[in-house]
Amino acid sequence: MPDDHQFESFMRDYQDMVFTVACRLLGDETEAEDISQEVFIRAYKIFDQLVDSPTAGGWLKIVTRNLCINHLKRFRNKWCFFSEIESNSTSDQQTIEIPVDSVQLEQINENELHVLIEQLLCKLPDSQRVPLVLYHFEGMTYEEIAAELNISLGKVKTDIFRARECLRKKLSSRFPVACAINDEFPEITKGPNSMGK
Amino acid sequence: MRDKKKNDILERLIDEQLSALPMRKAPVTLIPRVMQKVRATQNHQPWYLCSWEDCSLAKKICLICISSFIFAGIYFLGYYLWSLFQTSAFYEFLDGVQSVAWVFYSLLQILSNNAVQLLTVSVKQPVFLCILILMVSGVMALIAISSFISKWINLSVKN
Repeated sequence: MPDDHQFESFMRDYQDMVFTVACRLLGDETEAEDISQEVFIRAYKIFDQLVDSPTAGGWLKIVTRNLCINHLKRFRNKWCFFSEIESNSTSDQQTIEIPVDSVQLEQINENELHVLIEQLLCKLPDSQRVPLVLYHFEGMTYEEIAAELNISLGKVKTDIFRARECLRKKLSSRFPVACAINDEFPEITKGPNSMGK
Repeated sequence: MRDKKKNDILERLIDEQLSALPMRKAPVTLIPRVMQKVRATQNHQPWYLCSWEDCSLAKKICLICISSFIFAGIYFLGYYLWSLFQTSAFYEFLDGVQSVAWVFYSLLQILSNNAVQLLTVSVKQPVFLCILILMVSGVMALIAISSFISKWINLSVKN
């Protein structure tokens, strides 16, 4: 039976990491807390092996990721985007409108910007946020994401591109190079609904 | 070509922004929630899966009493068997080390058939098992030494 104090200390070390992964994948703090709880209960069962293991963090990340994806597949109807999107051409081209005033962006500080980006991530649809998070935060390749989510490679690339576009548009005033891309590729600044049309 | 360049720049831009994001603070309720769940699971565990440290005083006393009875039973049963072998005709064919080995074998048989088998199957506590094995080994060694000495004395007296 693991020592409770030792386990608490272990949790303090990793709770932020687990919660962050869960929060970014699920886009909901309450659900992320539930998943984090489940992850640590699983960790408790094999704590004897984890306590001195240098790969404990990696193990926690993988378990969190798998639990989040399972949670999305099982308990959220929103996840049907992934399976239904290919047969639905109109929804395939849909992008989300996030109400952010770009003028205000120039006045906010770094911390506020981070909070804003987290909020923007949470507001992305699951079908865009999950591949984006897996790619940028978890370091997975497009192929790995496609296999993990059981969707086509093209779909992964499109979803990630749309998610990036959505973020870029909302944060354009904070991107120093954004103006250069806008000049060179004016079509990507036409508006959220102009994508792919 | 153009699309690829656009994608690459966009990817780099987003990556810069996202990688600058700090980790989110876990809610303060997370640790208490997990610990509460863990303790609830512990309370539902059967007594033989609880560690020695987690056992209550009453449980510890009970376990010590049961262990003492088992050791006493093994010791007296071994003693009884030894006296049986001394009177049997089979004893005539055994001398010295052989008889001692026989006692060991008999005791091991009793142990494997009864107490140790029961305990090793149901009690999964390394500390408790180590103490048990040490105590049983000590008792067996004492029986073996005492029986060897008594046999040696008997033979000396006969000669």
